[in-house]
Amino acid sequence: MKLNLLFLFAFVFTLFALITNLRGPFLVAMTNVTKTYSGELNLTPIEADDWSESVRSFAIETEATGVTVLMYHRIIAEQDLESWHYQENGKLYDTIVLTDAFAEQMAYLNEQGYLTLTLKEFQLFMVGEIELPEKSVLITFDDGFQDNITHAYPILRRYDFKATIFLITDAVASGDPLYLSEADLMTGSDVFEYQSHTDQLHQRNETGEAYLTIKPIAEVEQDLRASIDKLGGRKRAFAYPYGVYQQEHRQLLADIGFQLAFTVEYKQATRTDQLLEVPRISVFPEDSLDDFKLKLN
Amino acid sequence: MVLILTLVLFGLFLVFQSVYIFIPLFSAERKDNLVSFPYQTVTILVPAFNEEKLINHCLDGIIKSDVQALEAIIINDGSTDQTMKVLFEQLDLVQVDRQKKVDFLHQPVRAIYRSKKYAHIFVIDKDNGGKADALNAGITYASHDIIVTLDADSILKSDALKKMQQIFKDERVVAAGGTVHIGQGMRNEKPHFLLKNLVRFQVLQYMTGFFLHKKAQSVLGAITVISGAFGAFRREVLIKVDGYRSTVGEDMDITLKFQEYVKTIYKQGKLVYVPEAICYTECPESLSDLFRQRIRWQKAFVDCMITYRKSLFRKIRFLPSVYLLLDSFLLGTLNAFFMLIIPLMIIFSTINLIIPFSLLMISFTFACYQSIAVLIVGYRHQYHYCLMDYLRYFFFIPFEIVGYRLLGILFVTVGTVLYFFNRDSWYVSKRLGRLKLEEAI
Repeated sequence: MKLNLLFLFAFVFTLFALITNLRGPFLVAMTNVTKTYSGELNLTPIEADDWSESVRSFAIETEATGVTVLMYHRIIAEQDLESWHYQENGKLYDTIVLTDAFAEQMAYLNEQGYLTLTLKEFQLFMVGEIELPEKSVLITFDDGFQDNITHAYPILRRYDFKATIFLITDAVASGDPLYLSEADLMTGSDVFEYQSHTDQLHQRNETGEAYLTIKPIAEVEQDLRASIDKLGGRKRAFAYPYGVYQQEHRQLLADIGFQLAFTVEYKQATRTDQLLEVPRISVFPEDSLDDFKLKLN
Repeated sequence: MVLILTLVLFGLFLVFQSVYIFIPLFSAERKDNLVSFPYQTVTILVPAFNEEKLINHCLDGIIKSDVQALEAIIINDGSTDQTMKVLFEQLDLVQVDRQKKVDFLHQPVRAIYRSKKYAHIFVIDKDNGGKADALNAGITYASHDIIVTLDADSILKSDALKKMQQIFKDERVVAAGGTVHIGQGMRNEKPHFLLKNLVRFQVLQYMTGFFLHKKAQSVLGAITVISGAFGAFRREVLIKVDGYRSTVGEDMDITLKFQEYVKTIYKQGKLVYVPEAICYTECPESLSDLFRQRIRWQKAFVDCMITYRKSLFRKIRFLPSVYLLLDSFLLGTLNAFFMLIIPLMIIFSTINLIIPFSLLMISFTFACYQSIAVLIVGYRHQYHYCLMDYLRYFFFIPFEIVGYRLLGILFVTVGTVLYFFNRDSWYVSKRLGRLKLEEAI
């Protein structure tokens, strides 16, 4: 009888250990496969009368000398956090901002009368064709996570804000529900502009080197063209995966016809910056509202 | 969709595996009470077709059986080898007259003999008609209350029949299955594990099959096969159900007939498993022989499943029906086909590998614990290995789980397909005759 209980205990213990370790990834994998496959991504080209093509006129008190480009990835509600959202040191991954914090930040921008720019306005400012009010900001999201539509979109829309999402177009086209679906892109099109974050090259090899830099340049070009294709020809801006790039990539972007490319260099963008190396200021999960205010100046 | 199906099957699989692990482990052992008499009388039937190499081992087992009120009938089913000659030499036979006790149809009997050396042993020499036919001929001439069927390649442990007699003192018991161990895994009545891997695999499988599966089924009243190698039946019931049907799997067939009987006629009746009633049988030692044997088993199963499909739940009780339908048919047969296409699905679909990996890890854990449970239950049934053998056992388990066990998928799928294409051809696996009685008993 003792042996039975020992056996039972060991059995339950092993199963329990197995289940606790596998449960998280298993459930994620399950929710991912149970959703339907959305098929190829194929956005319609931008029309000339689209909001993203027009340049608004602004009442300017003080002219901006630089513009903060905010960089976000994921916006997640606190109750939806799971163990794999945390790093080994117990902190959230840098790419996550909680919904409440994001709402607070946007409310602050609205209350302070900030202008949220379109890419075209930002580009024209950078080349000196237009001036912008001092309180201008460009909001960007990298990767194209699904939470951008479920969590960020309603908040942005509330204040009639504009923002840009750099999509990993292959991930969106794959139907993986962690990422935006084509239908999500349609829904969000009154707030978001969509640009490329590569098609399939947002990966690292085993030694941690970004695919963009280790793949032959011809392959990179092919990837970017595939990405632009899926985006219906959108190529106003690009964001380097992990902010990693070399001289030849800048050249390639210029050859293809990109106007802007964004890095992850942490500083405000000014007219002295190269158009294909625009710095961005990342918003971190632990940032307080005061930290956020500092980022804007 | 396929994934949900997979998970449902997997859940079902885990339920059955848990039943097989925990019911045998926690079910209390019956106390033997040796004092009470009288015993039921026993007739052993041994159908033999071309068994010249092994029949004398089997005879020795019968002769050495420590039991009263016994008769044994060896039925020579028209052997084309020296089986009759061996019987003559071993038993010193003389021809006798013997009255038919019932009138079953079977191939004509050429002669009936009785041993001068052992007065309780008879031999029926008849025309070839298959195992079921031979058993029916045996039933025709059997006179005792309990009929024990024994394969000619099986050797009874000396107290096996006594254990069988005891169980039949319970009037509700209409049929009982004994434990069949692999003879190669025994030396001087003690189990050992210094064997070819292919034999080890079968040893493990038999141990699991009897100590866990049969035991659990016995507790739940869901026994659907009483092994033809060693089973015991009440003669009156055998006669009521018209004896054996000529089929590849006459042992499963007769068991299901008994299941119908206890559901429709004798409602208190039950079929049980008697772990202490032990016999030893020689298992195939080559992959091709094993393959033939398993193909035959699978054909037998498919045949019975088709024959009894309409009896499920109506003429067969709920639990054995559930067991047949879900465990044997769904998990045992259909699932094998499904398993064949799983690797393809993993390759050609975008499924996250964590899902198959998780399922694999969980089934591996279950398999490991099941192998340990077998040892614990086996130990309680005096199945003791020496320390070295336990080590060998544990080193073998992982290979068994990821290697040999997968062979089963092949056996089941090929067997099922072959059933529909060449139903009638069935092989008898080659007898090696290597199994010496001294080794086994």
